[in-house]
Amino acid sequence: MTLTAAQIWLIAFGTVYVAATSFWARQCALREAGTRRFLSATGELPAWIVALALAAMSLSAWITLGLPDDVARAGFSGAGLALATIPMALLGVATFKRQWQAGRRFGARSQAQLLAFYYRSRGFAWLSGGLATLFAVAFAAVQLSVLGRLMADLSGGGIAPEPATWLLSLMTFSYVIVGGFYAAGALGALQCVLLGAGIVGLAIAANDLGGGFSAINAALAKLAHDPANAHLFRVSGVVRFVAGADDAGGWTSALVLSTALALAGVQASPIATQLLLSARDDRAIAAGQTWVLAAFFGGLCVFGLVLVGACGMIASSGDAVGDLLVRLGAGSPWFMAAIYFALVAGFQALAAASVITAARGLVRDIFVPDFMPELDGRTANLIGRICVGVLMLASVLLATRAPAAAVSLGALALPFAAQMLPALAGLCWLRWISPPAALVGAAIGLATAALTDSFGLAVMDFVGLHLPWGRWPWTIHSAGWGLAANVATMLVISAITPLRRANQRAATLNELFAGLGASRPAARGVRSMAWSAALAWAFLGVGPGLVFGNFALGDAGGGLDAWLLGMPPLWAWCLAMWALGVILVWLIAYKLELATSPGVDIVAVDRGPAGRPKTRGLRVDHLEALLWTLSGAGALITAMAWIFGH
Amino acid sequence: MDTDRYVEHGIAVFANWGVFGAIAIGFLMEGVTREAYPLSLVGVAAAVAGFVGHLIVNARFGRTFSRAEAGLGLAAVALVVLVFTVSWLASSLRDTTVWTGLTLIVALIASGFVYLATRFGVRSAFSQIRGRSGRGGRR
Repeated sequence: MTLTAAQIWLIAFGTVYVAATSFWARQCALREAGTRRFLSATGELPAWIVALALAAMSLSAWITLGLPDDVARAGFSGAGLALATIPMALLGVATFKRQWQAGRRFGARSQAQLLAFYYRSRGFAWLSGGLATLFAVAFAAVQLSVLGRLMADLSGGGIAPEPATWLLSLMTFSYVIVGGFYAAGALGALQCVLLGAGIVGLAIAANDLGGGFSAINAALAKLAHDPANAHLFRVSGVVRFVAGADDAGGWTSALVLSTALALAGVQASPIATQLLLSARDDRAIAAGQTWVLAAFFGGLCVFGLVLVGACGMIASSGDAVGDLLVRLGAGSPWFMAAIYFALVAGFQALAAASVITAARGLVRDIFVPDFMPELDGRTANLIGRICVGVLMLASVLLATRAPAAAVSLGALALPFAAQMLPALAGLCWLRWISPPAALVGAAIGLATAALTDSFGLAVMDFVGLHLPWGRWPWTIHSAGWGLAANVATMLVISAITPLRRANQRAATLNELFAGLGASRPAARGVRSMAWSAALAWAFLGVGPGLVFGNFALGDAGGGLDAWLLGMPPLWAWCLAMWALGVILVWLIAYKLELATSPGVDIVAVDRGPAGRPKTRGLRVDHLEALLWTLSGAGALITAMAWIFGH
Repeated sequence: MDTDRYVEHGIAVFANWGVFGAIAIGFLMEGVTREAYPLSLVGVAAAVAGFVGHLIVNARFGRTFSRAEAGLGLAAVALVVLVFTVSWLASSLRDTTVWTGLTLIVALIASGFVYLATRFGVRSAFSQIRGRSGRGGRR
């Protein structure tokens, strides 16, 4: 059997990449703390590493592979999604510092611990653990499946998609199981750099194979002349009152805004919080969110990835990145292989962190406190390792055996994560949010998000309930519907419930933030201006004002001469909004001092004696309750499907 | 904490070489395949940039090259020289390939010498090499 050049280079880069990740996973495992704390690395990772790992996790291969395809299929309204890095960074700037400070004060190691302790509710531990599991299994499965198919295409059929998917999963498993969360975080920084370089490489390749930037824009102008393609060059209104976004015939600004909120949800996920709490200090939060995420990756998305999508649009390709890499592989297999493994690095940055966060959530935050309080750390770590293996196996089985289910289930991960935003806002800023309001709001938000997305609709259909709307009704993403229901519920319940139970902990946080957050008079002076600018940007960048991009910088259908900047007006608008967005993030992070470090050591509060567990060994009563609940739910669904279903 | 610094430094070095190394290999291959010497020069520049980046990372972490790093670097240069020499002698290489190889070898050796000269002074640079071999590579 003779190997092709593409196969040889894929093997060569793959081998080097696996050797590097395995080597550093082993080095991380050799650390004393690494062997002791497989499931977390609280306060152990350098701040700059966490800043890079957070950026890589936020983007992952999801945006890198998905954004160009959206642009190629739906046109430049999809470019509005590239601006999602700004809402992501704004969210990080507004909450990360306070999450880290609260985590340090309460001695929390995960989002589950942080929220469960602050709100005194075990419900948050279950919610957070379940969410991390969704990311580790379904969200990772979607990316695994896409990257597996891509490897099969790039190798010219040398390896089939299914073995390729298994191989990618094994590559991730091999370093996660050895190095634990410390290795996942530390290698996240390396993967961030590789992902950034890979996106730059993709953009250069698209520009080169497209004949240069001017030629690409000339081809786009030719496309724009045809009235049948008008929808590719403009946002199709603010909102459309149709049953589902699939019937809208293009992206509306409401869809762009709500999808940007969904993408920003990754910053509110348990994975982001656990990475954040792993930082030794909060010194790199401002730089990470402003310069790495908003400026560097934001620029790469809004220019580089949209350029790749534009080339896909010209070639009428629904798989912009895949087709580009196949073409690149024909002439320059070395670049193709390097870019492919940069995408794999982006996938691993999220997959590795999410699988350990999920294992930690299931073992340390759910199983130990609720079912076996006396379990020793060594056994918990062993169960955690087994959990990592089981989760990765579930993920790869979902990717290879049920790819359609993986897509609809994986699509829920981001809108579900966005439902943690109000609870985090309560922790960081809005102390009037009562514990029941935060928990019930999140639950209602999750249910609403599920029922407005394809998975929830399919489940309802299965049990015989045909909902009268489709996926993303009124061209509003399920994250938007979920957040609306979540916030409305939270406001009502907060108004009618007393704050008694969270009062003491809220007071602790008030005292902490008041002490650390006393900003200089200059910062107070720019506060109103900064928030006004944020609202204006949200309106013009990802909100209803995005429709101004249809005509503000030229006539979209008028061709090259009518385009003021020599590129499609909507794309130019998005680039301008990105530049303004970076200034906005900088203003809020640095001038408003929302993300800059006060440089003060935070002493953990005494959480009181842990107390002797009431029951030794396994909590059989809790286990029984769980099994009865699961059996009851299963029986109910089966009965409904039998009676009302097809 | 010392182990943490070791991991931190190592990740930074790997990130540096992960990017510059891939660019260097890619452009060197591109230049040789397309017979375009300017493309090869980009590859050589990327290799030198990787070396300079490594020096910056070392300076940032207050470290010098470890014995393993120095050994790996010297072995890589030796391998490049060996492969180039054998290929040149065994087959008729195209002009672009010959120039690319020569430029790469000269650039790598010059980078190493400039590093030693700036760190230890021109005279000491030679004695460093002699001293290293004389003391079994220890510094």
